[in-house]
Amino acid sequence: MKFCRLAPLGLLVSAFCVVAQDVPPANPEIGQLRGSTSLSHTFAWMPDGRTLLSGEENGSVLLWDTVGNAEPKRFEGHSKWVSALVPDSSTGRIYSASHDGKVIVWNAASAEKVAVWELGKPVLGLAISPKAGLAAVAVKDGPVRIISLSDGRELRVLDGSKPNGLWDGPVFFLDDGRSVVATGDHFIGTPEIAAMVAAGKIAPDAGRQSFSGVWKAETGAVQVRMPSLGWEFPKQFYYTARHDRLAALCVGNGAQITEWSVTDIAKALASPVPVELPPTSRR
Amino acid sequence: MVNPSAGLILTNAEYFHKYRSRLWDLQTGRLLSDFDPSYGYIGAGAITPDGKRAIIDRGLDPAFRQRGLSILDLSQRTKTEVWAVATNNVVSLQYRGPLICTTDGWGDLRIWNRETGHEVLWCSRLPTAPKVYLGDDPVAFIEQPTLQLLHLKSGAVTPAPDPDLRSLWPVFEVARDGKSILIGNNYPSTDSNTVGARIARTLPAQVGRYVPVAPRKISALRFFDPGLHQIGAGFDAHFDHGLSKAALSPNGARVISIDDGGVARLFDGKTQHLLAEIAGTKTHAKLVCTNDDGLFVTASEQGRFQVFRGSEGLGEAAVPADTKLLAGMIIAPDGKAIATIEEVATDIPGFGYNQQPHIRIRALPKLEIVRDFTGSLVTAGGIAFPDPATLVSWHDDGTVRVWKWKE
Repeated sequence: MKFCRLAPLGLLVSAFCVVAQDVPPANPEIGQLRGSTSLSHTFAWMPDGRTLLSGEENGSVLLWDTVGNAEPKRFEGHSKWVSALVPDSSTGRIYSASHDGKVIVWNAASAEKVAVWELGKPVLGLAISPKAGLAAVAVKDGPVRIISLSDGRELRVLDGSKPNGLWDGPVFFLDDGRSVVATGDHFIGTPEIAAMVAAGKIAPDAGRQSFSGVWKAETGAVQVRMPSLGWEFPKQFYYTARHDRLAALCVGNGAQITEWSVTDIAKALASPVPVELPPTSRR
Repeated sequence: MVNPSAGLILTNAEYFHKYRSRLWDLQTGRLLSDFDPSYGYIGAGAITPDGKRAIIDRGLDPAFRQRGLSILDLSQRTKTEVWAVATNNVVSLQYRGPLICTTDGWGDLRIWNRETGHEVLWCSRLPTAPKVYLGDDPVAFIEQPTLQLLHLKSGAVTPAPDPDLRSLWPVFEVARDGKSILIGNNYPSTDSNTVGARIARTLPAQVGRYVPVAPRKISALRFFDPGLHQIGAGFDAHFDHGLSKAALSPNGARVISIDDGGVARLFDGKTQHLLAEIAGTKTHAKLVCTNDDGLFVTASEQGRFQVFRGSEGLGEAAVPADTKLLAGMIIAPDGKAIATIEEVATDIPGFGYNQQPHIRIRALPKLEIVRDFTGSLVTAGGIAFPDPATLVSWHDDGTVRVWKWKE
């Protein structure tokens, strides 16, 4: 179904002049999906570009054929806000994360649960590394958990990692499958501030600075700290199209993209000591 | 939402910007599509792997026709050329050929090639949003703690060419030929005696009456030669009030200035002679511009325009009561029109009362509107004419809009 296009503002003729307006904005809708009952906070397209996963505020996970008119396939198991969806085409599984504190592993074909991971805290972000058999799960207030894909066992946590807010916990595996990009914070204040925090006289986050970083999944230690020098609330990490940079998308009063050189990150990961890496670009 | 492999980012403005979705080229920052406000998303969205379509949740807001998940065709393109060049609100913009330089509230300085989209230079966390001169040796004027010149290619820092030159506020106008910069700064009253005396010696005889006998505010208006790195000729400054605005005519033949008391002065740009003085601008005009023939326009923030040739008033115009005139008015390169930033109170059904920015072209001398651009959603910070057919505006959402206003 298509909506009617808003009447173009076009040419308005007055007694004195012709007022030419800006080009009207595009009306892009080519279809709608019916059957959603709650606000969707996360989507994931399957590799075919036709099948779509949506995660809803009421906990439903829906699998849509966006070309046909069929009702969506429902995956019922979460009780709260679905925050992340990750399809794994190599195994035919779907991983869903929710604010109900669970990650559920689904069989995409049958919509049956394969496993349920109880995290105990609202789950804000999820990434998997089929190559290493690992998942990285960002939970509210942190730290990020490293979980075995094969049995759901928690292997370790990423020291000092912490989602920056209540809603976004971006996690991302680098190509090696064993390095995890996430957010964290560390103390940069003075001893006096530390003492005041310890005594409960000032806020517990006083003197702490957030950062993006790369952790080694095998040890849980942060190896690369990447202060973006700008907004420190990434929503998504990704490789650029040329695969020469790692990027962080931050959203606030606009969208900001901070990028770091992949070559520099590789060097930093090989360093015997943790490295602070400035951004290559920000816009 | 980002699709890195397709090189696309779909963004969404918040409620007061009407939830409008925009599709951008991730690499260059060029705006590809500016969608109808009905197709903003408030839940989430995702772009298909091939970048051809997107899914968005338009939410439950009654402003939308109905609740639903919409599939968008991303192949549609908006014709207005727009760039996202700043991370925060754009504070200043300079241009030279295809290069555009912006500074923003974060202290970021960025030079882009507006034809290729390539970023030429990026400096981060400068002490202030500097004024920039895009010559062969691009220079950023850093105003804190003292005025310094940062040479962007070499990174070298040199002191200001004049120790009394502490700030470039409120006037910094690069001549269209790039050979001079018009600067004007207001000195504080407490130390103005020395400065005032020094400036007074350089001024024509007829301005002797303005030399202060007690510490008071002085405003200087001078040329700076970026090639010689020297302060050049000075103009009869506004001694009774601070400078509000000054501007060069397109070829530099005329210089117009106006002060906080609403007094406008027109100078010969070559001889620095005072050609006209208008003391009676209505409601204390704050904006001013002139063409090469000395036809000049003053405008107040309340929206009252006045047009003069010399001391002769040629006409007046006022914006409607629901319109504000903002901090932007410049002359077209051919001197036959002005461009203004105006904000119109607009009631948009479902979204409520909103201030809609308009970039308007008004013909001289009667100031009738000949073009009215409304594609921007947030306040415009300034406007420029990089070439006769192109108008550039910059906005608080970090976008720079390039308008083709005539063929």
